[in-house]
Amino acid sequence: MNKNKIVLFVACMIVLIIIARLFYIQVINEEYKQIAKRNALYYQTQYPARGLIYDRNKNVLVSNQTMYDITVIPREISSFDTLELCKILNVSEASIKQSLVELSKKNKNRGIASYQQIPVVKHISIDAYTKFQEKLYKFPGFYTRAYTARKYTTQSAANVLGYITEVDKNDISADSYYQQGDFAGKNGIEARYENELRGQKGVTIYTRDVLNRIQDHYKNGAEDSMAVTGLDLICTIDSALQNYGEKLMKNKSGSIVAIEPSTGEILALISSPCFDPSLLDEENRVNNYRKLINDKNKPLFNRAIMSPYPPGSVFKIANALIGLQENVLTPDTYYSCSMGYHVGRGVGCHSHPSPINMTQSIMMSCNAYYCHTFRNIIDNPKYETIYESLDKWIEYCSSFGFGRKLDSDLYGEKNGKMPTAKTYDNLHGKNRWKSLSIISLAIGQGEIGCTPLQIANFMATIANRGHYYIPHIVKDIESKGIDAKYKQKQYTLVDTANYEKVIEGMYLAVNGFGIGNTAGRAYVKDLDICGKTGTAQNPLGDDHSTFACFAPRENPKIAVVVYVENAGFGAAWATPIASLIVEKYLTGKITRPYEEERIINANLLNKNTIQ
Amino acid sequence: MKRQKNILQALDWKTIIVYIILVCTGWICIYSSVYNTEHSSIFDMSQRYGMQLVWIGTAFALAIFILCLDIKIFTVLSLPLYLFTLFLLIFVLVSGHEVNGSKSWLAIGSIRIQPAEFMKIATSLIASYLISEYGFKINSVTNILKLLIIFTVPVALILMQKDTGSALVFASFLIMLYREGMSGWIIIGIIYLSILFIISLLLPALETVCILTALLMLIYIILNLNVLWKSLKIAFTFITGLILAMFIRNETDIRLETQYLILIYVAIFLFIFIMSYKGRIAKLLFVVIFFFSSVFISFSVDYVFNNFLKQHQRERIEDMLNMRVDLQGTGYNVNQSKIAIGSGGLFGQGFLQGTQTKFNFVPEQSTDFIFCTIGEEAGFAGCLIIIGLYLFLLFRIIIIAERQRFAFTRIFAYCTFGILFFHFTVNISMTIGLIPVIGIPLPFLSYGGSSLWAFTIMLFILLKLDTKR
Repeated sequence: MNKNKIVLFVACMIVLIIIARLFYIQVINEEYKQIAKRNALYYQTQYPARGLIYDRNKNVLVSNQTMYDITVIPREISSFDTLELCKILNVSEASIKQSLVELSKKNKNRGIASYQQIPVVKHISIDAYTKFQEKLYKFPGFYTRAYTARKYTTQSAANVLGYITEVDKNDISADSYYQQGDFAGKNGIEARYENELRGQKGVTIYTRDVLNRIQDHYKNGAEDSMAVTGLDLICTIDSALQNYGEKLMKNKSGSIVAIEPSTGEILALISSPCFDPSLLDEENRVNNYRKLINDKNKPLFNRAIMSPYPPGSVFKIANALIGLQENVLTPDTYYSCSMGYHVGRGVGCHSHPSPINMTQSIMMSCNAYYCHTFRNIIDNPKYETIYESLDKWIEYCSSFGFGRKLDSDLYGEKNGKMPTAKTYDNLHGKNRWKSLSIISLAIGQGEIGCTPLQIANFMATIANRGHYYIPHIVKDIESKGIDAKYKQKQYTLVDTANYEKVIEGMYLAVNGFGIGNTAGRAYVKDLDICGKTGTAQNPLGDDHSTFACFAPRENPKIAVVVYVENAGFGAAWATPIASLIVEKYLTGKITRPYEEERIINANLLNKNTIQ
Repeated sequence: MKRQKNILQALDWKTIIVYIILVCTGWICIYSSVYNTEHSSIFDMSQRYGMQLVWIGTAFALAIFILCLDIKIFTVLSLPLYLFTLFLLIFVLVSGHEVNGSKSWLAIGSIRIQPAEFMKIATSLIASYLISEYGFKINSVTNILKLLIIFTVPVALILMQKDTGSALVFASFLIMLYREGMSGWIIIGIIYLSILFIISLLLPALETVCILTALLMLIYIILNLNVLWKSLKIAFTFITGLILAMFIRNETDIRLETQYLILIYVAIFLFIFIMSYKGRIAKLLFVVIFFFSSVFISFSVDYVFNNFLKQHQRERIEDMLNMRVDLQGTGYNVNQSKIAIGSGGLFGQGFLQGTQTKFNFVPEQSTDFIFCTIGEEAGFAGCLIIIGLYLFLLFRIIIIAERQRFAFTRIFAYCTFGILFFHFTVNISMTIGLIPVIGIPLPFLSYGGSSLWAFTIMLFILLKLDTKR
């Protein structure tokens, strides 16, 4: 080869390398295009107002207030007059420096991109905000941010409403909608209906030069978008009833759930100890969250939908219904009881007349009667093995809504506890257990746990004579409505006719004075309350006091369940609380102020620790 | 009249047309990169595009002036011109104007001139004159000394002005020297040393030595091809034996780390080495000297790097080798430049639509980084066209060079080719991060009177010389 050709060949090779490199950075690689946009475009986010939350009577529960922050984009900061900044914002020089130092650490530690806005001074006054806005050009890399935070006009229902916080890294990676500094619901309605409430952020895109001076609207605003306000929600809560319930539960640990049987709407959902939702608003959350999470009474734990309490005697109604449906029990079946059921280890009972029929057994809450009934269900010759019959029993329970989520719109709803054959195989060995081994289930003890919501839903089912509507907390969403599933009847496996038979017993338990009723304390004249007491054994301390009821007997308007933890015998505390709730809701006034006063003043908290 | 007509006919018009296209494209790019709505008149002398119009006009005048000169003047005046430009360089050193850390500007009123740009022409002329002399032999010691003096004096002066980029351009004379008879091994040697330099900086000493050893073995085998088959047989036996031994010791879980691989590799070749030692002393000596000098150079590179280079030069080299990431500091230029070019995509953002160059994200965007404007606004397609134009120009120069009767013209053509090629490849490579930032302009496109004048003069001297082919 001639030397001139070698020279040209080598030159062409070098040029080919250059072309290949150009092809890579211009055509293949997308990264440079992204960075170019970030360099030259400034995205000003328009934050929408979050949707408001109303109660069922259109009282505002949660609204918005505007807050102002100073933010920085770390990599854009260059030298600025710290003193002037402090003067405008009325903060100390040390605190500004501190937060800027924190910021650089944060960037390193959490890998937040340095081109994102990060708040440095939070919650400044509107005066400081406007003043700073004018001087913004003197502080490269600094920006202001006006956003809406929550404002609570109610002091109750904190766990129902939930709260909002700034999104963290996980939120951002889970949903690309969020950016650093955005807010999102963290619990309750705020979290469950986040997509409806948050609205749609808008953005205005500007071009800017290397000195960060805004030049122009990018593409004349062709890619800009307007912020869309979040949708307003009407929740099913009756805030007067919610407030009253929280008042009654003061200094008590437990839960109240009230449902409107004809719709499945939750009228009140109380988990006690309660707290003011404002404690977790934007200004106070940092200080209070830790206190609440460390409180040994666990106010942030929503007992109404999470705590699997043993249902206790309330569960006898379920067993009665199953027995009737399975034809192992009739209203006229009589069993005798002398202080209990004395087979095997046996189950004790209190003193009451004997023998009794089914109605009386509910009224008097006889343990022995349900031991017989339960064994008849499980040992039914219709089923070949105990596995088959237990499965059938579980199927019934599940149709009542026990042992599974009800598929409600409550954030964090739990399953409760429901045993399976496997549970007992593990406990006793395969084929080494029989109906007597699981006799506790007869009276709602043992391996079963129901949330107050599930019991309340069960009461609504009885009130409706065999069907329920999925309980829900949101009644209506602006311009959208709620899911159709909440309007569909959910039938149980027990015939409507059988419900009427147990209701008689529940009616007499409250209203049958002089013939051995157990819930006379719930009696309110003319309200026809039908209910069932329960005393749920608690291996950790005093028994839980529980009462479940609905009223009135015909055309029921409300189903209520009350759990008071460690309060002892059901009739003493849960029963009057439930009846006061019913009375308050149905009549709007209280005929027994002495009972109300006794309950409000009672302090049943920390009873165990005192002992 | 007759002479005039001959000149017009003999001129290489293809080259002139490409030259005009490039100069006009350059002006458009400068206009685009400093464009803003406040100064929209293209004759606005306060703006660079306005000034560039003046430079282009005077460059055209210069071109015509050169075409009118007698070609003897280039040979006769080569020595005085060379000396005069050297004097200018010294003068600049004494009372020059400093821009961006380089004291390489001569200020005459408001106009600033960079003598280094013209030094390239003067050096080309005198080198062409010297080499084209009757009886010149490139291998004679006196000639080598003369050439060394011609090249090193201006390089030393330019280096003293801290204008490393312009000094490096003188390396492009190697292409001409190669064409005129210098051994290609010298260029390969220089490239080898550069690669050795980079490897030494990037890798720890031990690994560098390992790689060098491997290289040594490879060269030895190439020199003794007949040994290759024998060695392969032995190597195969050796490896089989090794694996068998491992199996016998029940070490089925063989995990070989890289350094062990290299060790085994070295061991095998050492064995071959000894096996084929007999009667090959001369080649062995070459390889051993080569090896030890490489190791020596490698070890002294770190020392040179840390003690002789300036801070900004070290940083530029470190940036290119990805030894550190500093996008705010010295890496900023290249990063912004890559972003601008990368954002162009296939067909670019469109004329005046490039945000990166328009809003000054790219520094030096009308001078050394003018290629960014093309990359961003005209995209990959536009870049290909520009590169194509340059390639065409370079091919034309080689064609012109090879059709000359006189050695002087051919040598001067190769000087022109080398300088243009060096400027063009180095400038574009630095904007796309292939090599460190070396501040030299893109011929005909970059803003600036000195460089446009210098390249125009050079090209038109060549075209004038070509008319007498």
